Amino acid sequence: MLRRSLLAILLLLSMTGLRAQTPVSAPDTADPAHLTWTGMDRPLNISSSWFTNSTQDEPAFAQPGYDDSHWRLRKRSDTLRSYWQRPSHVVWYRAHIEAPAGIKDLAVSINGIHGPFELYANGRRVGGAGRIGDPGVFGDMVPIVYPLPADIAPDGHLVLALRTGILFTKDSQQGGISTDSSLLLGATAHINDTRSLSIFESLASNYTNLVIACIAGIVALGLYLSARGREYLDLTLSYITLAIYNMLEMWEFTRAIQRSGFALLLTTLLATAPVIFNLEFIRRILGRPRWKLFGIIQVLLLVNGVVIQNLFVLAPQIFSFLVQGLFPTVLAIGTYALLDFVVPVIIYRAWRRGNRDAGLLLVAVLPSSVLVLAQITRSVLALTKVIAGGSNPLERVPGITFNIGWSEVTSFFASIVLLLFMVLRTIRLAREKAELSAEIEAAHNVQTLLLARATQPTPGFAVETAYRPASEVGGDFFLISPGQDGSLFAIVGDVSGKGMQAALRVSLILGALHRESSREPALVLQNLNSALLSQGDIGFTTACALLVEKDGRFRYANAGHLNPYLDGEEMPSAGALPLGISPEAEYGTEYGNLATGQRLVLLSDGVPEARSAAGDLYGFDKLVTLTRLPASDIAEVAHAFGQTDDITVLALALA
Amino acid sequence: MQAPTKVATRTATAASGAPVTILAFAGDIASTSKEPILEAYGATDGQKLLLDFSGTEYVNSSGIAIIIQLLLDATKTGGRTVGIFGLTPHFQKVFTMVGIGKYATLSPNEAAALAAL
Repeated sequence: MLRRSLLAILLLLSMTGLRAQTPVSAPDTADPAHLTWTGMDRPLNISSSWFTNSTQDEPAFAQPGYDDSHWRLRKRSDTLRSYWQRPSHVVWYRAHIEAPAGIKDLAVSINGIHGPFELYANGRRVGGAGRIGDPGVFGDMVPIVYPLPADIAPDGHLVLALRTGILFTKDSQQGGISTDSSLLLGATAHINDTRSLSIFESLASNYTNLVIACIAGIVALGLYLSARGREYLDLTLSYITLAIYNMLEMWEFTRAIQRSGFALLLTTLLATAPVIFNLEFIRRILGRPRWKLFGIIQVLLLVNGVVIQNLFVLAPQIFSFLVQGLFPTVLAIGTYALLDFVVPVIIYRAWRRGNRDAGLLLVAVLPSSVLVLAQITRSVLALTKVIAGGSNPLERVPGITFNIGWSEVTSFFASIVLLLFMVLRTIRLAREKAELSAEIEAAHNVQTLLLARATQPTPGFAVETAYRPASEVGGDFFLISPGQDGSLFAIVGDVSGKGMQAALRVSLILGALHRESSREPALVLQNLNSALLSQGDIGFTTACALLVEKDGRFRYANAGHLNPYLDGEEMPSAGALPLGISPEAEYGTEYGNLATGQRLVLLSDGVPEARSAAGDLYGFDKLVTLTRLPASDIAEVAHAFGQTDDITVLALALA
Repeated sequence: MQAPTKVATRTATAASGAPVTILAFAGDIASTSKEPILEAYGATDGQKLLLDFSGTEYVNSSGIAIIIQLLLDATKTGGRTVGIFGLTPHFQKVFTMVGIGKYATLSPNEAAALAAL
C-alpha cells in the first residue's frame, strides 16, 4: 500500500524555487553528427545524437579517430528495439562534441541505462557500471557522475563512446540508451548540482515513506507486544519490510548497481512482502479463512512480483518458454483485479454486516483500489486499441514539476488511515475490555452477596459447603434455608452456559428462591420452572431441591440434576427435564432418612465432568467413595483432576 | 480442544419393517453443534428416528439442551418415535438424569435400538 507519500509532494512543492536556480540542460545543436558546446555555464544534453552499432563489438570503437560515419544515427525518440539487432548482447554508441579549446574540469552524468555499460572519453575508459555479459538488471537510479581527466580534450574535440550490454528474451530487452535515458556533459560543479537535485527529487518520497513506515511500525509493534493480537504482528512485518525496501531502494538509487541472483530475489521479495502482510492483516480483521481467496491472492502476488521477475533475469530461457504473449499481462490484471476489486467488496460486505473495523479499512484501501482499477481499465482499452496509448493521466499528479504518482498519494493516504485505524481500534477494544471487566466485577459482587445470603446458621444441622467457580462469575448456585420448625431446605443447581449470561441467570434464580414461600422441593422446582420460562428462551437449569426434617427424614425433587448421595450411596430419582424448557415438566418427590452420623451430599456436575488433560472424565463411579470426603476435599479432588465447569458441593449431617 | 460436530444421515429398517432414519453424530456436541444437528434433523422425514452417538465422546450442557430441543420437537410436535444408541455409560446416565428417557428409548447399540423402535 505504501509507496510514496503526500509529504514528499509538499516537500517537493516547497523546493520549486530551488529548481529554478539549478543548471538546466542546453538544447541539442542543429548538427546531430557534431554537437557544439560553447558555454560552460550550462550543461549540454547529450541524450540523443549518438551513432549506434549493434552488430560488432571492437575495442577500436572507443578510439576518437575511428570512422563511425557509416553507423546509424539514433534519434531522441528511438527505442532500443528500433535500432538494436538480435541476437547481439552489445550495443556501441559514439558522440562527437566540439567544446572550447583547453576546457577542463568536465564530467559526464549518466542516468536511465538499464544495463551494464562502459564509458570512454577520447579512447580512455572513464567509468562504467556492472559487467557486460553478466545477467542482472539495473533499476531506476539517480545520475551517476563520471569526472573526465583534466587533459582529456586540449583541442576541444571530445569523442564519447559507450559500450552497453543488452539483456533480452524472446519478448523483451533491456539496456542501452532508450527514451528515458538522460546523459549530460558539463562542468563538474554543475553536474554535481544537477545530481544533488535529482537525488532529492528521487529520494524525498523514500525518506518520507521510511519515516511513516518506522512510526507506523513502532505503533503496530507496541500494540502487538501489549495486546498480543496477531493482526498487529502482520502490520508490523508489513511496515518493517516496507522500511527495509525503502532503505535498499535509496541505497541502490545512488549507485549503479547491477542486481543479480540473490540481490534481485531479495529486492523483489521486499517489494512484494508489504502487500502480502497487509492482506494478511485485513484477512485477520475480517476473520476470513487463510487458505481460500486471500491465500490465492497472496500466492498470485508472489508469482507476479517475485517468480516472473526473477525468471526473466536468472533463467531467461525458462522465462521465454513459460511466459508467452499476453500471459504475464493477463496474470497481472487478474491478480490486481482480485486484490483491488474483490478484497474491497469483501471489506464492504463485512462492514455492512456490522464489522466496525471494516469501515476504516475500506476508507484506507478504496482510493488505491479505484486508482488501480482505473489503470487496469485504461491498459485494457489501450491494448485493445479502443483508446490511444501515449501519456497516461492516471500516473502523474498534474501541475507538479516533480515526478509524483497518484499511487504514491493514495498509498500515503492508506498508511495515515491505517495509523488512525490502529489508534481508534485500540481505544475501542480497551474501552470494551474495561466495560466487560466492570460488568464481570459487578456480577461477581452480586453473586458473592447472594451466595453469602445463601449460607445461614443451621441449628440442628452440620453443613459444609464448597463453591469453586470455573471463572470469575459462575453458573452454579446453592441455597440453604433453615426453617422455624427445625427443618432445613437446601438446593444446588447449575445453569447452562458460562460467563455473564449464566451469571445473570444465577442472580435471577437466587432472587426467585429468596422470594419463594414454599419449602416443598417439588413445588419449589415447579415455581422456579415457571419463573424461568417467563423470561423467554434463556437456556436451561438443572437443580436438586431437598428438605430435611429435624428428625432426619428428608424428601427431595430433581430437575435433571445429580441425585443426592447418602453416605456414598446415590439416592434414586426418575429423570426429569431441567428447568426452563417445558411448562409441562413435572417433578416427583422422593423420600429418604438421614440417620445420626450419616452425611447427605448434593453436588453439581462440575465434579463428575471434571476432565483430565488426556480428555478422560472423572465420571460417576468414583463418586461412591469421593462423596464420603469433606465437601472441600471433594471440590479439591475434582479441581485437581481437571476442572472444566463450576464445582459446588454441599454436605449435610444432623448435629 | 473441542472436536467439531459432524452429522451423517443414513437409513435402516426397524424390526417392525418400518423405515428408520439414523442421524449419526461425530465429534463433541456443544453450543456450536446446534446448526449442523438441527439442519440435518430438519432434512429428515419418516416416523422413526434414531440418534447415533457412537462417534461422540463428550456432550456438554449446551449440547444436551440441543438434543432435548430436538426430542421435544420430534415427539411432541412431530409425533415421531425416537431412539438413541451408542452413548458411553457416563452419558447414558446423564441422558437418563435429564429426563431424555421419557422422550426416547436408550439402547446400547444399533441392533437393540432398531429392535426397540
